[in-house]
Amino acid sequence: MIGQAIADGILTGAIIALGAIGISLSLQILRFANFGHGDILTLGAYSALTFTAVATAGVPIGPVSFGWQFLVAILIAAIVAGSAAILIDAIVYNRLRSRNAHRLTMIFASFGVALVLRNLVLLIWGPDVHYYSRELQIAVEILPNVRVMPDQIVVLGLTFAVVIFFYLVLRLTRIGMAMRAMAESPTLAGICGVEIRKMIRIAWFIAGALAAMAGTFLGLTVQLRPEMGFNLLLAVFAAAILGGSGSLFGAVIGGLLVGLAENLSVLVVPAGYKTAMPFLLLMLVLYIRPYGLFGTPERH
Amino acid sequence: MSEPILSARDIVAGYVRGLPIVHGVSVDVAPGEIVTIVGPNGAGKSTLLKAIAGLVVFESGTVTFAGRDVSGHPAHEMVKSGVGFVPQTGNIFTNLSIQENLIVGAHTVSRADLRLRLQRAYEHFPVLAERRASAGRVLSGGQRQMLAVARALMTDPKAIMLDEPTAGLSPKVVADVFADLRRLTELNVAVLMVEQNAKAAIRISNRAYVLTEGRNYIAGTPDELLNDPAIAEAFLGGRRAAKASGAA
Repeated sequence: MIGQAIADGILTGAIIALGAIGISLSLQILRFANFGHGDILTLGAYSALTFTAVATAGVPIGPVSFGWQFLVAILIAAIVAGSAAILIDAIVYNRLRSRNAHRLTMIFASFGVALVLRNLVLLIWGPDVHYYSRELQIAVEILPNVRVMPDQIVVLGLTFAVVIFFYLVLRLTRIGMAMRAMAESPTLAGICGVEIRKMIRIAWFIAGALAAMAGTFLGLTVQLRPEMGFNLLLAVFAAAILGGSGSLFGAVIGGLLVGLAENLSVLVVPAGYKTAMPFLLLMLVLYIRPYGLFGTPERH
Repeated sequence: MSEPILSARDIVAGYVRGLPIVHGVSVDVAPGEIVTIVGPNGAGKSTLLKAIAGLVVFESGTVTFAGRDVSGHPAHEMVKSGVGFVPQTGNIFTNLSIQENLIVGAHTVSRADLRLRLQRAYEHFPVLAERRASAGRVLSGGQRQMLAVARALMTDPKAIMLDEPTAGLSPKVVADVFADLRRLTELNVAVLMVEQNAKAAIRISNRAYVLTEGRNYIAGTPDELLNDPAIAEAFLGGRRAAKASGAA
């Protein structure tokens, strides 16, 4: 039982982690809590659906439920969601920033963006539940009494590949260093010749693309619903804050912990309380480390 | 003074539009020259540098650099034009390593030049080379200042502005920082700095400006300013004059 819960927790956690990286980026670089992030995730998932509706999810490769077409769909979803995030910034957030809007104004604007996006998804794709593929999958027993779907293993592998790639970009490339520099001090980054607006666009694209991946993975392993992103948002926030806002590594660990807390809790408390568990964990962690597990105290 | 490379004329600037702190200040710096701006707190010294660097609200006036009008250009464009800036506080990235600080400092430099610039920075500042993988936050005050200057030099600026480069440093380190600045002038870099450590700064300068209440008060060579008892008394601490009168 525990083994199965841990396996499920890691799989859910990986998807939450992808979303949490985006939240973490917007907290650090854009400096506000973006409540529209969940619906960017939904938009990404549905963009992939449009592609698979035309091109199908492909002939299943081995035991998984999809073929190479689905990988193209993920890529397209990432580009669509990333571009949408840049567009939304240009239409909404950039205008507010240029008028020195308060952080709270940005947060409320993001609520508005969330509502618009969710209803747009509802309008275009309808309220019904969708699936990328109707292929039946047989769970494989990876350890005694621990069964996972082949799709879930692929999702986990892809998530870790994306996280490692993103980590390397942040550590080793000049753009990555400039982004980290901007996260610490936009003023000093500007003095170094870093163009702040360009960096903001890059940050939005990455956040949107990672959210789209989380959305397609969630759609693949669960189902697609217009409120899928919004429902995941609180867990994603919990993960980002738990890990320490602004820490990539923290966001990933935070995601995994939230996933594990949700899935392990059903062993001891009724399943109805499952979604409350990450917040209990969050309260506990913040009580001891107010800046999160891997965050650093903010200096003023 | 030879032809100035950086010239600010009648600058009006501040943090909020309509509420300027600098009211029409003019300064010039020529290549290979150190020019110091001194004055009491609130005289608008730092704001003037920030206005030239493109960091505050630029209301009016002109800034020309190497014959080009760069008035009110944003910070990242000023760097590209060839004006480096070392702010007083928060002048290094504490979460980045020394090497990463230098690489971000060279953001506008081509990939091919980056390696040479890094090599040159480490030759100039061997202490930084020894600790290149350390995070900025572990450096001492003097080392931070050194890194901040090295970072600003990565773009090969023709002019560099420093806001109180010796604030909070021990006398020995102050002397090192000033020696580093003198070395820059040998490379024909124009240096414009604001200093609280006024006397020592004026001594190593070619010229100095005294600002009060956001306006030019007086300008002159170190000899002219240091030997003027009224100026020394009012703006340069006036310790010697005070002591003399106390003894009498």
